[in-house]
Amino acid sequence: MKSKLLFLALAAFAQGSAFAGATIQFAEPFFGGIPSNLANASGAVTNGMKWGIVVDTSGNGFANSGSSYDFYAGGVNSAGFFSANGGTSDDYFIPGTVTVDASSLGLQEGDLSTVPGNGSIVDDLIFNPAYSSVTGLGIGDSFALIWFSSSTSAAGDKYGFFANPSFTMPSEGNPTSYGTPFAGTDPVRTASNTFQNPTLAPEPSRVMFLALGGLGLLMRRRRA
Amino acid sequence: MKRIQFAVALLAAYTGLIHAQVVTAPVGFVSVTVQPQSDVALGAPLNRAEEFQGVIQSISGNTLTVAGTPGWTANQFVYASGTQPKTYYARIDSGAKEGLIATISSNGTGSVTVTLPSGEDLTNISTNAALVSPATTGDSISIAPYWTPASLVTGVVAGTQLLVYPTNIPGINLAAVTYVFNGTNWLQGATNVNDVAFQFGQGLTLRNNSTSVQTISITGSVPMTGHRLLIKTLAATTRQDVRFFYSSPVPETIGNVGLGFAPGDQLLFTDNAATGRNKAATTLTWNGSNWLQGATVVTTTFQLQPGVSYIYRKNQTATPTNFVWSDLQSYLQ
Repeated sequence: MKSKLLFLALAAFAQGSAFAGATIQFAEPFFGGIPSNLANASGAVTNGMKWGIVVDTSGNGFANSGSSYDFYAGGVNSAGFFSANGGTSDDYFIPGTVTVDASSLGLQEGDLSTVPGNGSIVDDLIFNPAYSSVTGLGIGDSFALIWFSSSTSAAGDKYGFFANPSFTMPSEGNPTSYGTPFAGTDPVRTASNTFQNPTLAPEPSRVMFLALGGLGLLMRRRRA
Repeated sequence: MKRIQFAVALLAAYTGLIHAQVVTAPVGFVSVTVQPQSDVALGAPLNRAEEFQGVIQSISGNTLTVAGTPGWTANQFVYASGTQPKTYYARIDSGAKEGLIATISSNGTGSVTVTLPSGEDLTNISTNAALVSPATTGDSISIAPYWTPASLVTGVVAGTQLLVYPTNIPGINLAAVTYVFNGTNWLQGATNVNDVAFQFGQGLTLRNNSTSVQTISITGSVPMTGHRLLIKTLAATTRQDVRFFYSSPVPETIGNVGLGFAPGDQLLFTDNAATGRNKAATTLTWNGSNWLQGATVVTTTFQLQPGVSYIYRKNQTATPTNFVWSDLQSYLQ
């Protein structure tokens, strides 16, 4: 009886506990597509650029459509929530590795004719904490590929952003491929978005308050 | 943290080549440590003890007759629920088909009839009656039982699970069936699966659901024959996951084991030392010449570990195809 109770308790505990980790594969060598031709801010296809993914954890779309995040103090090697318009967003950044030259690695795409070259992604993105460790993160969340022109995320730095409907977070434990959008020769994708500095660009409402304040001071001076 | 220890506990002479009926291969053990509430990818690096070793006298169809008079009783190697819990296989131990494993479906007093895995056959096996050049005698044969849940995983607490993956369903990321240990028996739902035979080379996941570290010890015979495993694609233009382990009680460098059949084949592994269930896997890719982990060549640095199973993700083929993975372990060379 005692062992039965112990067994039931363990089973119940097992059901309530967290699971961990997922592997996202953008590259499908000799099977599907391989992302390539990722370019820096100048449009030059570049190796050595840091990349990662941004996950829309609330399902409300990427902040500003992913086009103008605030600078990210965490840096390109640290996971965390991005900010936008001066406030924290629900978009969660997970770092990957760097772009490389796939042709030097002897890799081809599944059509056995496309040979991706510079600016390619060949590493998996391995996310090992349980999804539940990140607020809102879950299976089916949309994500986008992001790459950093100078491998930095300060205000004014440039980044590329590529979303696709097929990019949704997989179930944990399953290595999942996302190479289909990259089948065939990829267009050059330029890192054309800019990290913003919200302190240098006050919101319109703030500007209005400042203007009203200044006007008030001016009128008071005239009366005096 | 998962620690593996290997010890050859009994270095008995391996004399299984000539007519011997009771032969002892070196015996060892491998211990596997499983962190609390964590998975490990488990393989059986040792065999269950052989119960017969001898020489093949002749082959007729799928029936192999051994030399001498082993004195078996009819169907003593056939599973019988409640009375004979073992499922036996016959293994070719020398020659062109060294490492070939086939399940025994019946036996006579000096012969066994086997069911061959799809894609295997008994050609090119030397027998005393029909030698295959350059052999001067019949090839060796062993008979041993397959591992089962009850024989492979012992000393675990109630609630421990074994995740067993299908071997006949096409595709990748295949869902597992779960066996649960209730403190006495292994169950699949309400069905007792203590005696279910694991296929040779079949990888499993052992899930420790308790809050304590568990360590299992696998004791068995050191493999003294070459590693041989069929890697199959089961459907046209469909990648196939094969959970496997390498038949060795010591680490082997991936570049030395003959693995890698076509560009795009992948090897997936998880970190058994890490905590957590359903852990993220790391991928190696075969580019036709080398194994790559991302952009790094790992052909001479990555090692297949004893007691650990892996996923071989076979790249698609135009039609279902068998690939024979045959390799002689470094400690046998």
